Amino acid sequence: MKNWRTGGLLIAALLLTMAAGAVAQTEESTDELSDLLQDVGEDYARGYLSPLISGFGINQNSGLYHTARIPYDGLKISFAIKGMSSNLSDADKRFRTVSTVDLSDYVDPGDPGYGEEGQLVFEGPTVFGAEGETGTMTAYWHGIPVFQENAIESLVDFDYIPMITPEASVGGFFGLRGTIRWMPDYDAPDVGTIKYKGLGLSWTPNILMPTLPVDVAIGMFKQSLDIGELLESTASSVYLAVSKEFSVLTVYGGVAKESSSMKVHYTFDDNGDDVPIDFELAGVQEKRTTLGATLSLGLKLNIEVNKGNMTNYTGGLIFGF
Amino acid sequence: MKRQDTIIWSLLAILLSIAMFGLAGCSSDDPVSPNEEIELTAEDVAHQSGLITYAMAEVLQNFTKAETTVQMFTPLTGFYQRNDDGADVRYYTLADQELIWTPAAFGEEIAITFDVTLSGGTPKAANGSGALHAGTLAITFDLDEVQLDVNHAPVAGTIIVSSGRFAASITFGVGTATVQIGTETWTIDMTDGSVS
Repeated sequence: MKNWRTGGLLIAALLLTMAAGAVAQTEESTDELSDLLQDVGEDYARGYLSPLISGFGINQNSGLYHTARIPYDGLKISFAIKGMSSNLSDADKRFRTVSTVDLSDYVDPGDPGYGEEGQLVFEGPTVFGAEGETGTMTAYWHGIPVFQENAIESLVDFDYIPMITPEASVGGFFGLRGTIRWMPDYDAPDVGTIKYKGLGLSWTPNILMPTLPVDVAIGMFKQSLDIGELLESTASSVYLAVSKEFSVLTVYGGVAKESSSMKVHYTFDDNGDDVPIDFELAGVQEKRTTLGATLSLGLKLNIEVNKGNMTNYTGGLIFGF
Repeated sequence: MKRQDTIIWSLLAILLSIAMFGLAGCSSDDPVSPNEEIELTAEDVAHQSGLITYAMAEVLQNFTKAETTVQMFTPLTGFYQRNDDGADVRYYTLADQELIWTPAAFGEEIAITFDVTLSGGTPKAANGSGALHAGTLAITFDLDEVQLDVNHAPVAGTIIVSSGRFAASITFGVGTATVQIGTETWTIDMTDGSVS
């Protein structure tokens, strides 16, 4: 048992080092993202960043449990590393928004549409869209394009959004389990401070009904992830989980109501004038269904699939309960 | 006691199922990125029809050339094919061909493709179909017995334009064209395709 604990802590330290490497990669990408966003205004940025905002929230609200069983026979402690991946569909990698505008801002006096209302269409690759394609801003008069300007390219061509997080849990009394997700604040050059923390609490009614044929847990989780001054995201979830143990295999499932949002701050270069842009956008996903399995071999390995607006796959390495 | 346990567990399973459905219902699988469309009005389609009418009138007047691969220079530019079977003459764009028009007032390119057959005899009549593409705008149209004068200018007949949920009917006269959508009508200026 002592060797298992020592080995588990060493593996956890190695995985945390890998997570720090992922954060360093995030730092470089954030710098490039700021450079891209400075060429577009808020309306374009909202559509462009939509899969980032939703994907961050979906990832944070994943892997909140690997079993519904919460022991209530004394203090229990566990450590875990969870890795998440939310898949992007082709439709998620492009966006198109339409707004009504005064065409006087886009055509010359005397041209068709001057002084009239028309539509302004922003479309193109999102932040995770295909490489080599540039978005456009097009003004339409009666559905006919009368003005067009190039916008920005994608940041990176991704088919999935990854995330990794360490967590620690304490439980064993009154059917309660508290979980914390946290990484030390990291001062990234040119980006600012990266901060990540989350707190969750779950409870099992099995403590009142020990003869239940399955384990049940209800819980809630709240998290925040800030990347410098550019992005501040929050995510919260309320869930109901059910699990059943079959020897070393635990099968679990659950449903959740969730929300997420992201505050975005950057400076828009409006023909030489620096315009501060600040807006908040909510993630799209509000519900999910989870199905997973955990293998207990001294340490635990789990994998789950989450279905909602995005399909998310999460895996974990758990030491403890 | 065993039967009581069975009833309790069954009720619990039912309550859990209701709770799970109530908590999550059916998860949405809508994309996370916005994908909005321009909502067109009848007047929008009338203006679009004006462009098609002007463009196709210019193209029909270019059908006087007799080459197999025909080049058009103005106001539309590009290439299309001509196939004379002795009775009728077919004019069409290949998959990699389109005629480009850049209206001076707009400054943005409009692309026209078509497959039109001119019947023999006098007056000649054009029948066929085509499409217009510009930005996100994509319109299809059908020529129905469009009669041509000696210079191939349209003087009678109809073009039906389909755009969004609207169908516009354009009727030619000598030097004139009107577009009708439902009970509304507009006049097309055949010098530039503008609508009033």
